[in-house]
Amino acid sequence: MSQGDAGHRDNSYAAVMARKNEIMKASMGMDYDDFVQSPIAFDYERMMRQTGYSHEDIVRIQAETKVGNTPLFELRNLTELVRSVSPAGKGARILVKDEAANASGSFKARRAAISAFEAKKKGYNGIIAATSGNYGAAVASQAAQRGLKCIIVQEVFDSRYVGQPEIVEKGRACEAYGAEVMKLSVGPELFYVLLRALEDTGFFNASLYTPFGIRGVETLGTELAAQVRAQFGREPDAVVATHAGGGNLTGTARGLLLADCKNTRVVACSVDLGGLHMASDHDFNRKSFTTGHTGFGVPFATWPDRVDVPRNAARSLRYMDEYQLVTQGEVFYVTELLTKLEGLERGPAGNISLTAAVTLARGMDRDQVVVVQETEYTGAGKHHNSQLSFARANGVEVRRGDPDGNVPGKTIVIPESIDQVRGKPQDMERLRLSYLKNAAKALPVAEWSAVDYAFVALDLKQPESWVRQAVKKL
Amino acid sequence: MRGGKILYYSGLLDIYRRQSRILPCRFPRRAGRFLAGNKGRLMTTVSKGTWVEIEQVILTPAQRAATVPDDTRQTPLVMRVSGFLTADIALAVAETASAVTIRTIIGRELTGKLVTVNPFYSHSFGATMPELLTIGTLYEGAGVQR
Repeated sequence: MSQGDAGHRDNSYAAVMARKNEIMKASMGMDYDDFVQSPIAFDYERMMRQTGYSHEDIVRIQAETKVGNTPLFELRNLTELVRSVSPAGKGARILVKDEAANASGSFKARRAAISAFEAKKKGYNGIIAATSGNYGAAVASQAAQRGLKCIIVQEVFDSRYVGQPEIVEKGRACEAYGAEVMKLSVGPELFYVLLRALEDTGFFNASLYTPFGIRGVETLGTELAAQVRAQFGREPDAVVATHAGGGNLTGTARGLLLADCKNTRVVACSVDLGGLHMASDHDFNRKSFTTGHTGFGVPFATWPDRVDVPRNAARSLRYMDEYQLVTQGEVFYVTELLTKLEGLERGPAGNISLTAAVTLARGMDRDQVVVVQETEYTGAGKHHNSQLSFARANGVEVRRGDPDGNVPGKTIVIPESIDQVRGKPQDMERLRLSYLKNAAKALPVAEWSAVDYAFVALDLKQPESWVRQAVKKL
Repeated sequence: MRGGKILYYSGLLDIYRRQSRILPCRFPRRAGRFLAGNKGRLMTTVSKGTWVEIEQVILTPAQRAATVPDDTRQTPLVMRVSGFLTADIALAVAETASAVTIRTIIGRELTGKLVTVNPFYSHSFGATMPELLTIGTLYEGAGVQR
């Protein structure tokens, strides 16, 4: 940590965590108390409006720093292949929004752009984000363009100092864009390090979960709606978003609603990493996906407010119609197909939703369209071959076969043909009940007011009557 | 340099030495040649301004959060950061010193144990995976009209 006046403060884990709220307030110039209504409820829409940016402002700010207006491509050859194994009349067109075209190579630039603009406007000297994902590179790239200093706090290596290639590459990208990267060993205390860095520097907290970040993703939804309408004369029938922390899905779905796409199915998709512990030193390098997996997707869906800000602007169950799970092997297979059939080499983590789209398209009519709303850049480390090679070197079995044989951390089975790409729907009812259990932990149901019931109903995209019935089952 | 934990990267040659997984190292003469301020000389000091990586123990195992799984709790939370060394330091000193000071790329001063001189990235596309080679090609495309 920096020397500064840190010596005068109690920097023990407990003391820093106890100062969490004041550190957050100072590092965002925003007081969440303005929106909070109870331990559960808060005025979500007012919080989103309070950013002070209109949708047009956001489009303009993003355009200034090489973000947005990415192409929407029809994947004709992949669609043909899917149709060849679909029932008669089935096999929707698969479209992909090539988000790798954003500065820094992923949709995360949309989130970072608004935070960097806000930080600059409010007079902060720098910007900090805690992330092991593409978001770090996005924040660094946006900070570079706005003349802000940048620190990325990243979980990189296990206790042997081994980091899997994708994470190492993401750290390299942050440094390439001029950020200082605080590289950490495995553990949730990353948050503690973030708090200390915020306190030491007085920089802006570019958390993934602020209203700025989520509002920034809305342009992805409005753009793709306009593109699908222009090219195909219809609303997108389904949009698939890779789901981890929830911001991708939330922002895109909000954008779709802004564009009046009320009938578009919003489908979440994660890589199933059931059985691996996300904070385990041993398991850390046994997963071939560092994000977009159930280790984030499920806990963040079932309780969004577990993040580095008092209330999370990313609330996936509010917008999610379905949730598809795919295996690591299925994603690697589809990533290779995208390269070979469509001439698009993109990073595997960006192709999680493409994998679910293959499954969905098979069950949808031919005249319908399913939109995969992102891709990400690829390169050394961030490549399916790097991931598989690293997995094999770390004792994970890699083979071809039926993806049913996938065991996270032990076996990666790459399908032998497209009809073996099946995915698996997640039980939405179970997720909603799990959310309710978490809400009941935050405030016992007996103490819920009408405001809480109304909030929870909106947060679960269910009628209030459903919530009142469901809490009786807890 | 016996038992040293510092990694030295020449920047041009893959001459390096690493903790317990020691690769035979012909350092210091060759590596030192490419380190700032040590051109052509046997390197006995790491010069001010050299790009290095330092390490800090943020939390000892006993200080770790209660929620951390058991295997993780047995290890300290460690941080590594790269920056420019703010003063010359003798190698012999660097290998035992608990703290050297760096100035990071954004100008922050941090202190910690010196672990790498001239750190660089070597991640790659990995070894060939035969399982991927034939996907989407004529070897697997029979029956698909394109």
